[in-house]
Amino acid sequence: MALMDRLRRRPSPEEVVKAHGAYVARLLYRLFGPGSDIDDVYQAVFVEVLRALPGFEGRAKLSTWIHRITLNVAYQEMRLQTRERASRSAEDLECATADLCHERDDFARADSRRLLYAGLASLDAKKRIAVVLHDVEGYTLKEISEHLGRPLQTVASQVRAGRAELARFVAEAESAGRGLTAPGVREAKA
Amino acid sequence: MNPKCQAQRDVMVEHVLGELDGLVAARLEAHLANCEACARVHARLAEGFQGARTLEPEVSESELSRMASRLAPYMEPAHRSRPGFGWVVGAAAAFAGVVAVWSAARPDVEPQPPAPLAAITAPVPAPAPPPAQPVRHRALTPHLKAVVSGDWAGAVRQPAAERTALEMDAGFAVLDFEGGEGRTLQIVAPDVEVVVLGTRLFVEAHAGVPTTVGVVSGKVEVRSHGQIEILGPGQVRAFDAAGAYTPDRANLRSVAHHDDGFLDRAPAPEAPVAARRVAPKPRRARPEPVAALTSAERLVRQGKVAEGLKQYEALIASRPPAPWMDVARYERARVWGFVQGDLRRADAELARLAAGADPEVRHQARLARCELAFVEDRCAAAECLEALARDPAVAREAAALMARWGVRGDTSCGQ
Ligand SMILES: [Zn+2]
Repeated sequence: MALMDRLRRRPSPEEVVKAHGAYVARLLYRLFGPGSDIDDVYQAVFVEVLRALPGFEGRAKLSTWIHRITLNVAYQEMRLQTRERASRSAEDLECATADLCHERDDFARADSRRLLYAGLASLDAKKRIAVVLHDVEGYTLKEISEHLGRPLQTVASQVRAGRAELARFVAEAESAGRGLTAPGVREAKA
Repeated sequence: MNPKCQAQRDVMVEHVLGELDGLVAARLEAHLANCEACARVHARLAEGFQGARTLEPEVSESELSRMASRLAPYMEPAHRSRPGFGWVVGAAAAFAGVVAVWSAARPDVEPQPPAPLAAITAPVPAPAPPPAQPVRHRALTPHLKAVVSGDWAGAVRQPAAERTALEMDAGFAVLDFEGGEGRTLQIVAPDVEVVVLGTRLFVEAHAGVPTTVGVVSGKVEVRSHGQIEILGPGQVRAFDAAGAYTPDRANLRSVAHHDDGFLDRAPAPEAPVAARRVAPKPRRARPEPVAALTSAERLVRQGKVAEGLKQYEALIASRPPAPWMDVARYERARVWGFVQGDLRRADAELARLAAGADPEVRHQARLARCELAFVEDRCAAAECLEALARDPAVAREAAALMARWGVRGDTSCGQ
């Protein structure tokens, strides 16, 4: 009856969401910045988790497995944001509406953590995920290289380039009033 | 911008994070002492990283339940992408209340963990559950039984012998309708008409709130304002004049409250059918898979092998949802092989299961094939396990079996 018992022990979708929901939300806030609108990514993470749950074999810890899925989905979201930004950038540069301009001015005065996350969001997804995982979440280059399936050297140079761009972003924000933009960060609840 | 500043900014984050030393660090520090703009950027970055790295995001319960409510559609059996075990989990979770009642009636079945449904569903317009109300048992026709709430209002008409119509205006009812011989049940509730062909379901209706229909077992067709929906086990839909949607499932607590065993069908009676010219096929209640598997296994263990096998056969014939179908076949194959010694038949069945849909069943079937091999040929079993030991999915179990039997493909059998 071992097989039956094992099948019965598999957690239900409800149990999985209940047990891991808060963890995933906190991780997403660390990856995207506090105040970001994480609802869509959160949903995408659990849709992925629930879809794959029947095949989950309990050989990895469920929490580890969900952590990995969260990072993957977060990276997909970052890529999406990069693409969205590319299609919007012309409009952003024009500072199309008064509201948008106003938002940008606010931004220069925002607290440093928000500014940092905005800078991270301005990076293209590959650099962004590398810098977030390395410099915010504290992963080693080797871990990131394994997780993302990129050569170690590539990850190292993405971190380096990302950091330089980040510093430039912050510098531009500091040299005030120059119409900054933080596309990619949805400040819905900030 | 000063080109000197540009060069310093490229290494600023490294410095902020304490990764820069030696000459490069000294040069940057000297620049910061003399360049106010860069010093400000440096301070912002330091403060920003400090803030990000020590961030302990607050996530409120209300935020979590709001986000979880968006997942509700993905927990519906109908939305599951694979008809694998997840479907059963979904149905079991959706009907945790019912399962708990069934389990209570069968002490040998371990109760399912309670699914925290309330926490993950949205507080959308749904009737408040009335669990404190007394329930009433009603045998409405010989084939239709109901457990209804105290405020239930309904009436049964039988326009023809095989056609039953239930008009239900208010209250909560869990119904069990025994179909067969062309019998149909039609339920008419506010905004909803349900066509039933033998099933257990519940209906909830209250003035001013949508009518909710949920299926415990079997299938029903629900018509509402020209829309037709087919509901299967585990599915719950609410209907109002505007259409259908998936409701808060708080009313499932009511199902648990009402479904107290009264609806369980007695074993098919044998005497009454004798009077008929053509004895109708006695309708057998669909076995509940976990209980059936447990009792079959107990029978085999007690030496009542034929009876146990008969139970497995009955369960398989009832086409239980995955993975119980495969589990029943797996257990039956084990009886064939290890109890009755019919190795060929057992192995053929296990081979089919080893190529099935559920990974857990697949792995167990592969391991069981090696175990079968051990009955006749120790070396073949060792080889079989050696092969499995190279597959990370089953390596641990394979190694455990090898240790238990004291076999190793390379040494014990020398190739
Ligand atoms: Zn400078």
